[in-house]
Amino acid sequence: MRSTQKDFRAEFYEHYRKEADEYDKEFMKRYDEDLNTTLIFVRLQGDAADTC
Amino acid sequence: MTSAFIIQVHSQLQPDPNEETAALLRVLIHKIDNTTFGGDVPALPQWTGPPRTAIQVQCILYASLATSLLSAFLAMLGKQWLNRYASIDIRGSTIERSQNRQRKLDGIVAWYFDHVLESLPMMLQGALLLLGCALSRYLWDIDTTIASVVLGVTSLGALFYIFIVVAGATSDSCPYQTPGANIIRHVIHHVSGLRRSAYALFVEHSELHSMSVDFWGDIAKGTANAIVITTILYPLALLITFTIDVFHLGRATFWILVAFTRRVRSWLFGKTPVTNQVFDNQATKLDFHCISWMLRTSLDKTINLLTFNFLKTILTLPDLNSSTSSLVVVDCFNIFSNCFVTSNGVATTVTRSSEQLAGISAMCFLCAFSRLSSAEPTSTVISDVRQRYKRVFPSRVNSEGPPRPIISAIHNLLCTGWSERRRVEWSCYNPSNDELVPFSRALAQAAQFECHRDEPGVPDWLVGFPLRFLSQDPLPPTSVVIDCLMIVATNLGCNVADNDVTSDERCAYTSAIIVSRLTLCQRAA
Repeated sequence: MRSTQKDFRAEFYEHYRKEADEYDKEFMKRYDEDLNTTLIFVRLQGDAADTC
Repeated sequence: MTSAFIIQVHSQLQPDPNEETAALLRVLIHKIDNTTFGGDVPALPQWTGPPRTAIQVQCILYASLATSLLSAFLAMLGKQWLNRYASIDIRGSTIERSQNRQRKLDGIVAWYFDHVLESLPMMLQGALLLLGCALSRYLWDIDTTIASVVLGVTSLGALFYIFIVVAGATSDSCPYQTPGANIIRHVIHHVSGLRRSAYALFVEHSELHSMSVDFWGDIAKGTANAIVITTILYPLALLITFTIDVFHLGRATFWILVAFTRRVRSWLFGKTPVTNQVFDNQATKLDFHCISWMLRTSLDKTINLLTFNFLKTILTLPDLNSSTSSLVVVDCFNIFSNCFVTSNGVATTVTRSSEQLAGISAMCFLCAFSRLSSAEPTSTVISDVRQRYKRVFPSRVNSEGPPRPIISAIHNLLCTGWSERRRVEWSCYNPSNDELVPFSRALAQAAQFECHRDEPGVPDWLVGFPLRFLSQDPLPPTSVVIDCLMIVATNLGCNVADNDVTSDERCAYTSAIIVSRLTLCQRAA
């Protein structure tokens, strides 16, 4: 019983890893782009201040 | 742009030195030659402080500047947090790393990480709006025509923004989604949920109910309910939820302090208070978190099947902390109900591959649900699942995937009324041992809950199970026999505390109870 559980566990986590990598990549991309937009916007305000 | 503008307005906050010089010169010239300014005697101007408008404009401007700087600061921190999430900060096997990742993801949900990050653009938008307001206010004093242009554009932008927030909140498919729309939708959802729970609270206290119906007399019952809910119970429910929130926060803080003290103690005295047992439980709990996430995220049927197989092996473990199974109950139910499609009042499994999925998800759901209901009979998850079952499944289920008794057992556990229960034909049920073991475990736990639900004693459909399998020759596996005996014991009125008994003791314990109980019955007869 215990050994089949270990097999299932190992197999499950292999698939989990794959799924998690895919999900995390999307997650990171989304928030990273959001934060970049924010930083660019703040930077633009600073640039505009210099030209004024 | 904000800072340049601030400098411009800043000059108004202090006395203008040029003006003072000019005034002094005028006084000097007047002293030399009295006729220069006609009869006028030039006086030194008195500085009476900055004009009110300048102060107002300056306040708004600084607020705008501070907001945009703050959001830049938070964006910088946010990038660091994201990197920390993505980094692999634990060495170990795939399993340990996956569990660590799941812990971090759960933290992200629990601490509203995404809400915090989404509020950053909102802060910038606020800064922009403040800048527009300040600019219009400043220009208004200088020239109304120029100011009206700025004012027009600012208010147009603000109106447009309000419009897209409302549009985004009303429709999910609207492309102009903003964080503000999410907040509004969340609040509306929360308030309506609160209303519903307030109503449930209200119906529960039937005394109050009958009283108010008497009180309102001729007014229709529905109207009376609505009025009482909105006037009395709604603020009450708000207060209650607020108190509960505060309570949870306090409890969490307390446990953090306790954990911290333990850590310090173990660090000081070199002892590790964490025993192996606790570690095992922790690992199983994380397994549950991972499984729950996987069931929610993955759409692949083969992966789901694999996940359920793993879940089934965990759910049949004897030494499992029951409250953790509440995590997967809803996920199992979601997948189970998605396997069926309803037409003409009959629910049928969709395709051939989903039959298999329906079977195993039904079994896992049954195990998790009965575990939860025997451990925490008052859990809100149970009532939620019952309500959803009522909505999703019509009276008849055409089961080709899962065996009929499993479907009937789920129906009987989830239906609300005594009369809705079905008879289960146990006589033509010949499952494999692989299926029978978790099924009997689930039924034994369900019996403990069911015997207190409507009327004392285990319902008839459940009693049929031990009758069928105890009379089988040869007998089923030992664990099934034990579970059958437990159902019988529960039916006889014994309080079988399953959670305290480990698998080795269960056999002796159960038989002892049954023997003692039977002797008692004999004596009474």
